[in-house]
Amino acid sequence: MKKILILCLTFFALATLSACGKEKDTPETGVERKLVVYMSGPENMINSLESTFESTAGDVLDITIYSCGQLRDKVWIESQSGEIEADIFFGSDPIIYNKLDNLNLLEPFTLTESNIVKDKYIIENHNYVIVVERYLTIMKTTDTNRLTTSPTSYADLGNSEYDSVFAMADASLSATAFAVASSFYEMSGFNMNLLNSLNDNNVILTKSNGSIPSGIIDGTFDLGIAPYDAFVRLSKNATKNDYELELEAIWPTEGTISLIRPVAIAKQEDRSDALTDVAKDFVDFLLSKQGQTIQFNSGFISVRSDINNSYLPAGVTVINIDWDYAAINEATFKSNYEDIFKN
Amino acid sequence: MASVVLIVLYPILHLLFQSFNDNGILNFSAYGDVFTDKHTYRALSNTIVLQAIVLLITWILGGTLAIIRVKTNYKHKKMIDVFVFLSLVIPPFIFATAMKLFLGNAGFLSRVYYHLNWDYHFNVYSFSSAAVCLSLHMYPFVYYGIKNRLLLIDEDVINSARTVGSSKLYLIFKVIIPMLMPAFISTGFLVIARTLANYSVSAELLLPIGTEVLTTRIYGSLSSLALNRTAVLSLFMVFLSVVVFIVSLWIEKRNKNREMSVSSNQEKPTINLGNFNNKLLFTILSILFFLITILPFITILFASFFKRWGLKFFTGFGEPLLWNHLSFGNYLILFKEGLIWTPLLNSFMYGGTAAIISAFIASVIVYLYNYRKGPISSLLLSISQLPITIPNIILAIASMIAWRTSPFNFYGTSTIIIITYIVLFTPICIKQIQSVSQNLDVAIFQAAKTMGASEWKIYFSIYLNQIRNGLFSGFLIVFLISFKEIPISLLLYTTNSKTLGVLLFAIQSNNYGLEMTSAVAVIVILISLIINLGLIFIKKGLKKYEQTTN
Repeated sequence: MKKILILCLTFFALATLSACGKEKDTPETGVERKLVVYMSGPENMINSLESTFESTAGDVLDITIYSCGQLRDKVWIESQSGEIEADIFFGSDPIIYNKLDNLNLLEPFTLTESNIVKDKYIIENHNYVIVVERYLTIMKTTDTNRLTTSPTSYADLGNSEYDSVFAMADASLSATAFAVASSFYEMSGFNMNLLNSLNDNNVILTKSNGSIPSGIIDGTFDLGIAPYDAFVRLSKNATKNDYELELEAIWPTEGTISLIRPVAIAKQEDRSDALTDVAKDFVDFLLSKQGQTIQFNSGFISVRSDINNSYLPAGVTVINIDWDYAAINEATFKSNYEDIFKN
Repeated sequence: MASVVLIVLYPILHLLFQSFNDNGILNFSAYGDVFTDKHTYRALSNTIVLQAIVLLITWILGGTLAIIRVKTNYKHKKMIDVFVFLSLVIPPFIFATAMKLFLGNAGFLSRVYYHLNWDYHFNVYSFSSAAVCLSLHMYPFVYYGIKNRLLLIDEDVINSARTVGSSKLYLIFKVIIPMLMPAFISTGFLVIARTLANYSVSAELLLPIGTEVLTTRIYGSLSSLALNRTAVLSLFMVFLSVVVFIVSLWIEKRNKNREMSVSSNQEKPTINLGNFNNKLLFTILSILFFLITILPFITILFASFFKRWGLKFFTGFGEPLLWNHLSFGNYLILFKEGLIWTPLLNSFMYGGTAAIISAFIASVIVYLYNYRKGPISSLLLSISQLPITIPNIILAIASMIAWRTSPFNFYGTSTIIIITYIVLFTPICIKQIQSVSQNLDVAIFQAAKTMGASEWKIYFSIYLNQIRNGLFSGFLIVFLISFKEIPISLLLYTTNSKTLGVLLFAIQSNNYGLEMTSAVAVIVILISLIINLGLIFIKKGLKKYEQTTN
């Protein structure tokens, strides 16, 4: 009986190990392997993008979903310890894309429908493209038992009634949060005053922006800064599941901070031209009307001129981040940020 | 055995190389950056304070319970064993989630306060919260260590003290506790090492208030895209862990020289509590276990049935009970939509495989060390034990860097997770097997050899049979740890290799809130319990079978 048990355990271990070795399976589409894709974003949207693309291209994508920060870390570690493992990566902020492109690690390509992309989204001199835009708003609970007033601007968030109930993502962990914090820095006239006032107001720091709307509904905090697309998805989810969403999005009087989500194809020595073409097809798909509509339905702003931006209310200013400035000053800014928020 | 050396040292050497690598240029600037940064020292001092608080709580709680369990005539001893075991099964991250659900801004307690028109001010994000969560998970280590030591204490020593008229308190503080010091020290170092390595609780309860410990600082440095600084911080943490480990070994050795006389399995109560004290203790322990084990579980169980945590309910903010806010929806999503199947299967396969291989490797290493004494076997034992000092997150970063270049390119496959688990688990299995093999009679092996048995025959037929209890407990412990392991899986997973730990840590996002984390937590706890009970059942069955066949 003991021998049988030992045999069974050995068989189990060997079976698992051999199964692990076969993970990089090949698709039935004539290319040598599936495309490895790292993406950040809502799971339903990514699944929808994958299934729609594969309905015509075949089973060619192997997508792993990460948070913006995770995606950024992973791609960077890979680039520094060899070759980037992903064929395509989509999400996070332009800083990482600029850095990788400066190291000549991104594959050059031209969009098939580049003429339909609005001018403001066209990136010149870099080997990546902007796929969608998202807007940051202040979100708050609608439960008046928890919060009786509403802020109208970012500056209001330093008011005492929001002491210990306001949350924002930690800029030292989240790429989007870094963008928010640098915008606050730029908005305050290139000083840390606004960030200092938030710290004095006992701001709660979260690992990612994505967890803020959820945290407000949960009651973990009462208000925070979060992307508007999350509000769109939560509203749809609440309608679908028949509950009242106790969440409200406020467009700040200073304007809404715009975040862009790029995509890039990593250079890889052993990738065939045929597979690189499939990668380019997928990027084209992300910017096609079909791909953009899927993302628009999840709350993101399309970069195409033939899809209306119906999410942005009239009169709201859009604040664009100076990514080049943010990249050059990232180390100094993060050091100042840590001096304020880290203890 | 060369493979053992390879899987342990190769990633660490890569980490060392990375610490000198500044975009392809060899320099030492990262060391200067890290050691001149005041935040490094702040994170270090926070880590030390956290360790001290956790150590104090676990010593008091675990030590007291062990003394009650072994040295008193308390009537409900089984109750202590059951609840301590349950605490061990609940991962610290789940304790943190339960704490947020119960004590948080919109937690159960705040809702009760609201109805009573009382102001509720409790900040769940604090040092004390993190310390409590870690302590609740780790006090069982102290409990088991002290309990085992108490069982070895020679009753004559205690009887002598009693004969000379020592009071009960004198007996406890001046006789029993001093004799328990070696156990307090060895379990204390385990608690210190585990607190140093913890990431999930610190990320959940300390990061929101900007308080950094070394593990969260390492994670933060990754986000700054400064891999060399991450490597330096990791090596610094490895250095600290190794120091802790060496000091613990030194103290253990020193105490061994001053060993008291011991006898085996003395479960004879020394302190008579009397009827009143027994009842009083039962009441106190019932309340304690309700607060630290049952309440967290009930909290997450209840929360897991919410369509959305935070919706108004009967103890809610002025709203009546709305039954339509409760449903099995979260479980249906997890099981019917298949969210849980792949992580569950992966955790089972990776944990099981790593546990089997680790137990096998550990048994060979201990065998060589004990019965083929020499510098090579000693070196092998030391190298294979090194990872016990390395926090999971650092093992993950080192693996990420090391296992992606030819000929060892496991990156992006689940093999990398299994290998990292093996590195992490082997020292745990070694500890378990060593504790059993210390009592083995060498003469049996010598006799077998004299009779012409081959080395493999001795190992398979005699040695493995003798150490089966150590093998089994090693397998059980590492299998359980793998089910709730977060940092390694979080950094190394891909689409196909998502584990339960990743699901637990990352499921709270735009679409899902604390209710879904709770549902996953309930499943993790129940599966851990089932596996535990199943394995205990198998062990008993095997024992029974052996008895009948003998």
